[in-house]
Amino acid sequence: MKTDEICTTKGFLPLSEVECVESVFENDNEKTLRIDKYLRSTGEWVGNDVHVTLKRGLFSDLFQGTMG
Amino acid sequence: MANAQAITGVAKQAALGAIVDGKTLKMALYLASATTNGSNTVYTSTGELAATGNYTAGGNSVTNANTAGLTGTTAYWTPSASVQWTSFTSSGAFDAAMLYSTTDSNRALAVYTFGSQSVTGGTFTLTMPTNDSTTGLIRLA
Repeated sequence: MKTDEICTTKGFLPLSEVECVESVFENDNEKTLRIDKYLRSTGEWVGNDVHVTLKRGLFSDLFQGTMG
Repeated sequence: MANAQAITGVAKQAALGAIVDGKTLKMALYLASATTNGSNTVYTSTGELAATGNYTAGGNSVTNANTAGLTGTTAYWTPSASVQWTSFTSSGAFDAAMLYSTTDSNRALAVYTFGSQSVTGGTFTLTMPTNDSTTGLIRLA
């Protein structure tokens, strides 16, 4: 893989041959960037990337109640 | 000022540190149809993505350069880098990742869910939250 190539269903292709269409989904817990890839020559869909960013992890509140 | 009973922050930090500090950790991905949850005691291959499309059974290594931190009385820890699968095609829709420790006989530490995703001929990246007491990946308060 060269730095100016991108992974697709047809193997690694030059970036110049692929159109990337980004869409973003976001809620309180995560932000997701999806990148759909299309051949510029034909418009054929040739795969996608997904990047999920977790905004926060998991929280456990240890019980601080009365001693049993 | 009255006395106040509490589990101390340093005790929480020590408890968290015992399961993450210096451990070799991995993350595995699970199909949206799977049922991983807080009851899992160890890594399981049940419901995991198939070992196809450049996914390896057991998942990927987690970069673990951080140790358990403490702010106030909240202990926290987060991996020090994103986890990424490249040249990847998922065997189905997936919506969960299990964090587990190979150092401790594959002890399951946490299961994280996210919106259901499918990846074809590409990259999947799971980027970690800020490592602090408010957003860290694991927090004990």
